Amino acid sequence: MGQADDRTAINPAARAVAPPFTPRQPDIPRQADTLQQPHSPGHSEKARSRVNLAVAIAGLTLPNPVMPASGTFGFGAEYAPFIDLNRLGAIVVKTITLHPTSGNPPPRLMETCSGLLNSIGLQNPGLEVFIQEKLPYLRQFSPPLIVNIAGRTVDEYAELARRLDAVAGVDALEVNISCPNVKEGGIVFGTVPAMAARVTAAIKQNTRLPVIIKLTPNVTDITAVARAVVDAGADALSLINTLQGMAIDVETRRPALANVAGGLSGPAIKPVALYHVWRVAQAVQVPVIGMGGIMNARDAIEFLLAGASAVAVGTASLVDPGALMVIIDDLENYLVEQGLTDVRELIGALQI
Amino acid sequence: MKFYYDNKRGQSVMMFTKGTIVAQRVVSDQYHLLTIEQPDIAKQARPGQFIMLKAWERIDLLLPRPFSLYRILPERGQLQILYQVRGQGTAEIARRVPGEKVELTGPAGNGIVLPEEGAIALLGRGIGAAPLMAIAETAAARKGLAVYTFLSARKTELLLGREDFALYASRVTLATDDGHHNEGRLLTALLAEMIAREGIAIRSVYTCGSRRLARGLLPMQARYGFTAYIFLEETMACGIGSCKGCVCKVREPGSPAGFVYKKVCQDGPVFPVDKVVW
Repeated sequence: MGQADDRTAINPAARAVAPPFTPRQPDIPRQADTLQQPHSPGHSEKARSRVNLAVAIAGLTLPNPVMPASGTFGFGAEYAPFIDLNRLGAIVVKTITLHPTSGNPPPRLMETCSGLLNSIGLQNPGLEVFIQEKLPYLRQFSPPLIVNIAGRTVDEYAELARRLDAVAGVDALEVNISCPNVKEGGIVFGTVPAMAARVTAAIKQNTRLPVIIKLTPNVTDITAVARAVVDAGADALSLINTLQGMAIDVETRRPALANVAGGLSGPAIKPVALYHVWRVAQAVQVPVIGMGGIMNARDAIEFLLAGASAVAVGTASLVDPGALMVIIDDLENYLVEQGLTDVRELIGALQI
Repeated sequence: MKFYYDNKRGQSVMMFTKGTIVAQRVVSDQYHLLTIEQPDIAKQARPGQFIMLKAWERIDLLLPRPFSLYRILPERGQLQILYQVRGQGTAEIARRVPGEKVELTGPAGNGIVLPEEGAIALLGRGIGAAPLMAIAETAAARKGLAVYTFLSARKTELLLGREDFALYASRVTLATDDGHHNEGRLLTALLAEMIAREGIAIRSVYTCGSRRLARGLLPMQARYGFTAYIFLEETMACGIGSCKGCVCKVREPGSPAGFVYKKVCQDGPVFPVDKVVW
């Protein structure tokens, strides 16, 4: 391994004079045991302690509204050297399928302008290994544990829900409906309101856990899917999943990803995500978890203002494994600066 | 998959931190040698491990880039990376000057296990010399462990780190495609020739920079009694095992497909050549 492929370059010779690189504060090393410090100066402990960050989603109380986005956080342990998992609003693990899934061939990643294309293909060890080997580790942490699930058929979703209902330590299910339905011609569940509703109903019938349906933006009208799954019993919605995209290597004339297309994440998609969140939050009565390109607390606050009750951070953690902690701290600082005492005052507070 | 690693991750702590650039030197054409001061990582890092490096604040350029460690200098608290300016990320790194700060995550990946004695061979093609240097330096510190280095490139100027390898290796053998060195012969052939001619018992071979070289080592393993390892390279996002983006195919006889996808960052980046599905 010499170095990164760095194939995003079109013109590496463009050597404009770059401004000096100035590090962002707070300074590091950010290890779990040195993490408690980054309370920035200027805000007294008193002012901070008066701020409420807790939010309620689908019957769960989150100590704060910031959680990792599924698929970017592994099963939590990967981030333990960098952050205190107990400070998260919730822990959201990578998608679990009923059986082990090997995933797509590499290359699986391509960086694009302010974005990341991926086609991992839901590589995961399957439900049984998750319960036996991953869950015991995750149970030690205090934030609610949200397990993301995906199926190839309605029955698989139902079975995942039923079996996860029976194990201790799982607090909610997040349902990835951006997968093809193998029994019905490979049409993606989340793109047809009736199909998305069937998945939701089947899961609800098989679990007492709160059910969060994760919506795909790759549809004509996301509010139609949102209403359908809420009518079918969804307790909350999370959005957006990645946007379909592709990139081509002009030297080889081949797609950058082995799977040809992939899902786009990162700051490039934030305006799209924000718009979808704003529309869905108005269309349904259940809480919305907003995500898509959140890199800092200001991005997170935009989603709260647009109507999200909580936010998920994905690509930012790949850039800086401590990003979630910085966002939680800066959100609190923002509330203090604004003279607010409760983060819930921001939810849906967009002025038009 | 852990059996051939000295997996000390339990003792060493991967960290996300800042480092200071101490030196930036153009080695040859697009090849640069960067020295970063970061004592916490330098004290822990071992040959085979890598760092994720970000040296820019541009939001259009998101991900840190992985770099193998050319030299690990714990007593000076420094790390060196040898890199090629290939794209926007490496172009940004090339613009940084001493005194500037960079962000890095590490030490990432698994370190290699060197034999206590005997001889090892390092086969590097082009920029593939980079991670081999840290092995040579560490091996040289062990009495009774000889290092035979073989480097190839298109032309002489692209033979990277020759002088440094000469400090630590028992011998450095070169080959260039233009025929200037060793008529441009394959490094695997030169290795075989050395073993046959001098009866040197090589215990481990490490290679980087050419999959062809690694494949060439496959049939040589049984014949000469060594184990060959390759440093794999794949586009990475997190570098810490969470995103599963940087996978390679690794043989697993019991699995349905006969192989599984292993993460280059967390399960590697060094793999035995006979485990890799080519």
